[in-house]
Amino acid sequence: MGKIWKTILLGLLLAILWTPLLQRVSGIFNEARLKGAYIVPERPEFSVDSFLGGSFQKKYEAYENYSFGFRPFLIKLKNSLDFILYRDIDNTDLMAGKNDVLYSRGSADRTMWGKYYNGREINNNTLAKIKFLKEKVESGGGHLIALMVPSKESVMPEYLPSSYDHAKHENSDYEDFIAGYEREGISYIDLCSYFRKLYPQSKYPLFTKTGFHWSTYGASVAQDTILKYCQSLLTLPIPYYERKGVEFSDTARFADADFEDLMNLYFSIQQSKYVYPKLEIVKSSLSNHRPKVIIIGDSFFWQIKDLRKLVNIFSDDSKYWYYFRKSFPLSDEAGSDMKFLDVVQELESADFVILESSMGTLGEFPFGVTEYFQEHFENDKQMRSINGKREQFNLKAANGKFVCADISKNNIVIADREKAAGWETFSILLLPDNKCAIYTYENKYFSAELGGQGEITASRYKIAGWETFTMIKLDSNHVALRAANGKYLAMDEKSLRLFARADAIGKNEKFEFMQKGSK
Amino acid sequence: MLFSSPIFIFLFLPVVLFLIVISPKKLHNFILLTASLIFYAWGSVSHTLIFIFSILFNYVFGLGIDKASGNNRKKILTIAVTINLVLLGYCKYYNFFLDNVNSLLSGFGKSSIEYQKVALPIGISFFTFHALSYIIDVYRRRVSAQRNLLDLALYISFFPQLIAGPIVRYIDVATQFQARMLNMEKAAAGIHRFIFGLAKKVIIANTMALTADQIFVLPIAKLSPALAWLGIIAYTLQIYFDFSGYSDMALGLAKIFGFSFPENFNYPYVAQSIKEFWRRWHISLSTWFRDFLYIPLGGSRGSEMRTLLNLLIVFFCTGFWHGASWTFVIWGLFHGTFLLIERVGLEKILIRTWKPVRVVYTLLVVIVGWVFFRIETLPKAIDYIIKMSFMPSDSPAQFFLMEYLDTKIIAVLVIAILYSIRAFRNGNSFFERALHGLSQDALYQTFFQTCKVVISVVLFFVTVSYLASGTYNPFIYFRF
Repeated sequence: MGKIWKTILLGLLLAILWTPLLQRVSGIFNEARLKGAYIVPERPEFSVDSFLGGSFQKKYEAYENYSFGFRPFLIKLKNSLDFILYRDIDNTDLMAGKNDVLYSRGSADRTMWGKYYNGREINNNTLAKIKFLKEKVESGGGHLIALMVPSKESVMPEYLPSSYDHAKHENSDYEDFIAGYEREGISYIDLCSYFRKLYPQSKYPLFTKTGFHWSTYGASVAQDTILKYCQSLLTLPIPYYERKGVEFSDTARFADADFEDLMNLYFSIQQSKYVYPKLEIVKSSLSNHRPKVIIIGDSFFWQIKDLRKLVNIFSDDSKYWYYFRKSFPLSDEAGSDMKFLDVVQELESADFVILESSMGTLGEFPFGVTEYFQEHFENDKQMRSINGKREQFNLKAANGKFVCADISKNNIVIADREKAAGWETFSILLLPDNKCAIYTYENKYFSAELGGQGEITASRYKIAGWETFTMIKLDSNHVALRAANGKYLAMDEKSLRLFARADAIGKNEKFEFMQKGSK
Repeated sequence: MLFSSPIFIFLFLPVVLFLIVISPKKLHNFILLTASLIFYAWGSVSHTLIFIFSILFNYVFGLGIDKASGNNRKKILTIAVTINLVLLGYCKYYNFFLDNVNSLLSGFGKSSIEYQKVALPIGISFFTFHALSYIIDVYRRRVSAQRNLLDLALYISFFPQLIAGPIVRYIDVATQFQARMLNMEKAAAGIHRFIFGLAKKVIIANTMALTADQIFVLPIAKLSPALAWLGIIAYTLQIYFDFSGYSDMALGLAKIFGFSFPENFNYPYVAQSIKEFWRRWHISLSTWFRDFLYIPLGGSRGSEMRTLLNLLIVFFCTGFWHGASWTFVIWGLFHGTFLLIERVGLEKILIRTWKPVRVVYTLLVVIVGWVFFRIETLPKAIDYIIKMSFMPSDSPAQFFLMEYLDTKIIAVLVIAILYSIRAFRNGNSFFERALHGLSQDALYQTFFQTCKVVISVVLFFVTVSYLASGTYNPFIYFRF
C-alpha cells in the first residue's frame, strides 16, 4: 500500500473528528434550518456560582446539543436512513402507513381502537355545558353550531399500517357526541360522515399523503358546507364566492405537508401534485349581511382561515379562538391573548358560535370555553376576562425559586424560575368541600397525574378528581397543597418538578404563597 | 460528559486532540491531566476535591509503602486500603446502610434515624479500584511507586477510563506514561475503535434500551411470556453493547493518545459456562477481584469448602460493587452459586455435552441473572422470571410481542445477536484470509485499507446522525 495513500486515509479519519467543530467555527457550508417547531436553548452566561452548582454545565450541554456543526445535515441523514430502511419516523406520534401515507398514531388509536375514550359520563357532562352555552347564545339571537371534523384515518383507513387492520372499538367520543347533539337538540355539522361519503368520488384528495390535517382542497369543501349551513339559518344573504378551478403544484403550501415537514427528510414522499382551489369572492355580494362568528376550535380550522375568504364573508369583529388559548381575527393580523377579551360578551353577541373539534382532539373539546362561560355567566357576571378579578398568586418553593407552569416543556410544573411572570402566576377556583383548582396563565388547570408518577402538570382544561387540591394554610404566608390521592405536593430536589407523593409536610412540601391581588 | 454526547465528540475531544498535536511531547501528560480534571469537574465540581484528595493521598501512601520496610509496609498498606474503602463505603453505601437500618428499626416499631443523603461521586468505584491496584502492587513490589505526581494523577484520572472503566491496573500501563509512541497509525486505529464503540452504544444499545424500557415499565402480570422474553433479551443486548461499546470507546481514546489498555470484553455471550462468562465479561473487574480479593483470601489453595466460600465472597462483593442494592447482591450471588455448582460437578457434565447446549445453558443463567440486575425489587424480579417461564397466569396478558416489534427493532436485534455470537468477526477474518490468499499485492491491501476507512467514516456519520437526533441516554455503568 502506497505510503502517501495510507497517510491520506489516516488523515481523513483524524479529520472527520474535527469537521463539525470547523463547520461550527467557520460556517463554511450554508446549512438549511430544520423544519418544525423546537426551542433553541440560549448560550448560558458563565459564572463561578453556576459552574460550581453544575447548572452552567447542564445548560451549556443543552446549548451544545443544538449548536454543533452539520447538525441539520446529520439529523436529516438519520431521518432519511431510518425511513428508507425501516419506514421508521423519529417522532412518537407519526407513523407511515401503506404506500407511505402518514398518520398520527394518537389520532389513529383514538379513532380506530377507541383509545383515550373520555367516558360517557364526561361526554354527557360536556354536552350539558354545550347545551347551556347554546341556550344563552340563542337567547341573544345567535346560533351555536357544533362542527365535527374528520381525522385522516376515519376517511382513508385503507392506508393505515396493518396493525390497524382488525381495529375495533366499543365506544367512541365521536359517537357519543353525535348522539348527544341529536338528543340535546344541538345543531351540528358532521363532516366526518360527509367526507367519508365524498372520499371515493372526490376529484381531488381531501387529505394529502404527507399532511395531518385535511388538504387545502378538503378545507375548501368543509368551508362550503359550513357557509351553506350558516346561510340556511339566516334570512339575509351573506357574501359568497365562486370556484374558478384548481391549481396544481409540486410543492406543498399551508399545512399540506405538515407531517412530512416534521420528518426533515432529504427527499419528498408525495408523488402526485398538490391541489389548490381557486376561490373568488363575488364582489357584488360583498354588500350582503356579514354575520359575526366566533369559532372555538383546533388547528384544522387554520386551513379554512388560510383560504382567506371568511374575512370577507363574516364581520370584522369575528374571531377564531385557537384552542381557547389565543384569539385571532379572520384576517392575517396577529392574535391576542384571551385575557384581553370579554369572553362572555363576545359569545353573547355573536351570530354564530362554532365549536369545532377534529376526532383527534375530542379529549380536550371544547377546550374549556363552556366551563369558563358557565362559571362566569352563573357565578360572577362581573368577571369578564379570564383572569380578571380572581385572586392571583405566585408560589415560591423551598429552593427560593418560583413555581412555573412551563408549556414549553410539556406543561410540567417546575420550581426553577428566578422571577414571576405569566407562567408563574396562578389563580384559585374554589370548589365545594374545601377543595380548589389551580388555574394557570395558559387557561389550564393543575393536575396530579395519579395514573403516572403523581407528577403535577398544567395540562387539563377540565376539572375532575386529579385537578382538585386542598390548600392548607401553614402560617401567614406559607401553604401546603394536598392532591386527590391524599399526598402532599413536594418539590423534587433533583428535577425541581412538583409531585404529589409526600406523606407529610416537610421543607419541600412548603410553598410561599405570594398574593398578587386582584387585577 | 458522556462519550456519546455532542459536547464530547464535537468539542472536547477535537480540542484535546488539537492541543496534543500542536504541543511538544513533554507537555502531553500535563495536557491530558488537565483535560481529565476538566472532564471530571464538568460532571461534578463538588466531588472534584474528593477526587483530588484520593489522588494525593494514594500518591503519598504509595511512596510511603515503597520506602518503608518490614512490618511498617503492611501497616501503611492497611491504612491506605482502609481509607480508600471507607471513602468508597461512605460515598456509595452510606445511604443504603441507613435505609436498611431504618427498615429494621421500623420493623421493631422504633423511630427511624434522620440523615442527609450522600451524593455519589461519579466514577468513585472505578478510581478507587485504580488506586487500590496501584498501592497493592507497590506493596507487593511488583512495581515501584510513581515519584512523578503528574503521572500518577494521570493514571488515576485519565478521562477515557475515569468514570466507567475499564479498571486498568497500574502495572499494565506504568511504563506508558513516559515511553509511549504517538503516531498517526495508532491514532487512526484508536479512532476506528472509538467509532466502532460509539456505533455499538448509539445504534444498538440505545435502540435496545428503548424496547427494554417500554417493556419493563409495563405491569408484569399483564405481559405475555414472549414479550417478557423480548424485554429481557433487549436488556441483555443493551447492557452488553452499552458497556462494551463504552469500553471500546475508552480503549480507542487511549490508543489515540498513545496508550494501550487491556481488553475488557471478549464476546461473553458465546461463553460455554459461567466460569468462562466471567473470563469474557468485564474482564478488568473480574481480574481485579481475582488478584486483589480471591487470591489474598486463599484462592483455591485451601480446602474445597474454603475455595467455595472464597468464590461466594468474591461474587457477593462483585454484586455489591455494582450498586448499593440487595438486587445487585442477589445478582452476584446468583452467578456465584452457578459457579459453585459448576465447580462441584456440573462442569464435568458440561464438558461432555454438545457445545450449543453449553452456550444455551450459560445464556439462560446470564439472562435470568439480568432480571435481578434490571428490576429493582426481588419480588418483582421473581414475578418476571415466573412470567418468562410460560406458566399459566390468573390474569390474562394485555401486552403482546408483536406490538413491540417493528422492522427497525428486528433489524437491530438480528445485527446485535449476530455480533454477539461472533458472526461478524468470523466473517471479517474470512474476508481477510480470502484477500490474503488471493494476493499479497499492494492493490488488494490498498483496497482493503480503503474499505476500512470508508466504513469507519460512513459509520461515524451514521452514528453521529443518530446521536444528533437522539435524546439524552446515559450509560448504564455510570451508576457504579
